[in-house]
Amino acid sequence: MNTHFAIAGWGAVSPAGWSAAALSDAVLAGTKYPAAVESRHPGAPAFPCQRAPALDTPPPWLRHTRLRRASPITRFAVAAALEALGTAAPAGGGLGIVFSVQNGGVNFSRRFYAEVLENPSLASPILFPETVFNAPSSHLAALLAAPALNNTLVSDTGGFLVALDLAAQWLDEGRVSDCLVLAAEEQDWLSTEALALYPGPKTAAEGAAALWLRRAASSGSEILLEQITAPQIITNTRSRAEAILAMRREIAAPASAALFTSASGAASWDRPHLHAFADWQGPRYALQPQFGHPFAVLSGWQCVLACELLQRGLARDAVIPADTGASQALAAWFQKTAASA
Amino acid sequence: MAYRRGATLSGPHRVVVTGLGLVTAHGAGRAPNTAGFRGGQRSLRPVTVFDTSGLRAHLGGEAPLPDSLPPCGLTPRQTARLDRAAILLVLAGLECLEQAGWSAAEKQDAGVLSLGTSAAGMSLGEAYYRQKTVSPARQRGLAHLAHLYQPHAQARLLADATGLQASVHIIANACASGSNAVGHAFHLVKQGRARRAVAGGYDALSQLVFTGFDSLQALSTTLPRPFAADRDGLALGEGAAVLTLERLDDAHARGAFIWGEITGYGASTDLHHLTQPQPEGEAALRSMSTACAEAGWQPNEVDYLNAHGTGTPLNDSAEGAAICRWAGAAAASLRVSSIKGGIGHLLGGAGAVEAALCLLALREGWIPPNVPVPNPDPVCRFQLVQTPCDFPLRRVLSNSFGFGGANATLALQHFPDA
Repeated sequence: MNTHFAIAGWGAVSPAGWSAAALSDAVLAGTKYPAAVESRHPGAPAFPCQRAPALDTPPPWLRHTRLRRASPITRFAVAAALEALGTAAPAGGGLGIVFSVQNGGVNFSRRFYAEVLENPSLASPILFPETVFNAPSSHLAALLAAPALNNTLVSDTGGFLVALDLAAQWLDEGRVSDCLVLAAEEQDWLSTEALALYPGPKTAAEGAAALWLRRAASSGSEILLEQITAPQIITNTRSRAEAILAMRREIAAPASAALFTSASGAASWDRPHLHAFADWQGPRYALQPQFGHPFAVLSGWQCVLACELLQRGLARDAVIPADTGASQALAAWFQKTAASA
Repeated sequence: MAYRRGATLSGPHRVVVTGLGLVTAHGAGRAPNTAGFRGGQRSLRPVTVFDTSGLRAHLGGEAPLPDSLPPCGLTPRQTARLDRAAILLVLAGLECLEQAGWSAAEKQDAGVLSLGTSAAGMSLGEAYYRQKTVSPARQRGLAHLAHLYQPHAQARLLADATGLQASVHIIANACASGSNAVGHAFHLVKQGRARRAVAGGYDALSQLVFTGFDSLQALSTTLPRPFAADRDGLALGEGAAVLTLERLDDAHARGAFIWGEITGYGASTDLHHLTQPQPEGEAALRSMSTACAEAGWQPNEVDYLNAHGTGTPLNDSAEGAAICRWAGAAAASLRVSSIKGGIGHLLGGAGAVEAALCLLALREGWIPPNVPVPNPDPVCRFQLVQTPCDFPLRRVLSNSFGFGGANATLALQHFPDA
């Protein structure tokens, strides 16, 4: 069986706009996106955040019955997925979905819990189901009429790469014919204020990223999934720096590859990552200093940016480390080929 | 596990379960759970971990927790910060790993830690919200509440407690999560992507989730009675189960005790509704069929089916229809039961706990009875087992279905002693 997998499409929602091109153009142009400073109510402490811009007109898919009251996380996920699939979307039957998330549907979770505390007998049965981690991927499956495998993974910034690995596994085992890999997050003061409690980036961001993975064609130019390293867990006996170094040692890509770095601009938090890649020779592209920290979406945006730049001929190999989380470190390597597999 | 383009895998391997730990309302550990499940014990009681006075329902499967954890690798600070969910997970994990007898080197090369949960440390998230809104100036403790609420942080606690080094995969497919996590780990070991794996599921009772099910009027206001014609809903419970999975050859080489073999895993997505199953159980039928196809089983070769069987009117009728469609002519002789009348619905922990239960039953030769239902739903054209029953089980299916249309089925098989 052909175990070569290609990235057939990609999509993104970010503070730069509702497309992968908007994200990439903004990175290449170095466009500044000043963070908004928001507080949960007048007089409360204010925290910086980067929101996705509002859409001028509602897209037609919002008329789907499952999406009428969907919160931003679902809308971001659907938009990125539809952009990734484009007009050549596969028939639903064999399409798998792997959705990764860290905060999840935090808008509705906060609203529902506030109602629980206010008066549990009046807490809304409409809100509660939307608080479940897999609600966005369920809505997306309904929209795409995709009854095959659909997993929601909860992780931190590396979750998107774990999801990509699972998609490759499903394709390899013939359980799906195509697979959408997604991450999405939405802003809420619960998560925005939580970010301020940690070392590292302080500006929260929202959005989504999506890749469409399928078997590589026998000819033609494609972006191939070359490698995903084994996740290196951080424990009491292995520090984050050690996990990042272990990840770095496993990357088989040439050191001339473009590095879609996870660096945040927060010096102390970035130090283990910068140390591990100190000898990297290829060009570096960073997203967080421009857009803020999008939680589980970060490695998704890194992947989408890599695909855009590979597609535009700005690099042949791309390395995406996902090592800013507190749980595990892993990396992916994509390669653009003229005649694949 | 790692992906490399064009790499050749060593599988397929036969996958066996060599370690098993669990905690439910029946108690902490294999012994009280074997007694409770085998005897059809009802362990539901009024919920005490939060106030239910403003709700319709008040019963739950609250797990009795010990005063302290067994000695383990957690620091005193980590231990002091454990919430109920993490305690359940760590207790099950410690029992499992101790019994599995993995060496330190095997724990350091555990491959994957695959866990299912729907709410993780929700009680910590609730505490974070309350502190933020009631005492907004107070910062003390907020960071650990926000961090340990997250399932990957709780997975790390299990790793620290047991000395595991493994890739962490957290599957949150609502009430199917536990079965998905076990099935995912099974496939990783079967195909040779991981040499061995730790898999399980867990969830604790939480005010947000309990009130959510109450708001949906999905909770029984009497007693949950899966597959009864007059059933009126489910009871929520809490618990965890953790299993070690490894290749049969490896288990034999080290002389490991074998609870049973995992032979199939099926999953599918029900597109009908966010919280309601398609009435004929189309997706459930697909997940059962897929699991059996992988196992190479025909319906008449399955001795027992552990049903998802929540006790809600919609689930049980759809699942019952799916079971009958899947089994066909074999339905009349198929033994079926749900354990949720005894311990409640463990949400993300349910699939793993029920896989553990099935392995106990396969090993020791009994069937866990459903709570007695004098008036079964007419959809039950199978043998609904309602009294304690010894039976030499060989092949078992376990169903888990969840919000979002997540459906999963595990196929488990008796493994004879050499």
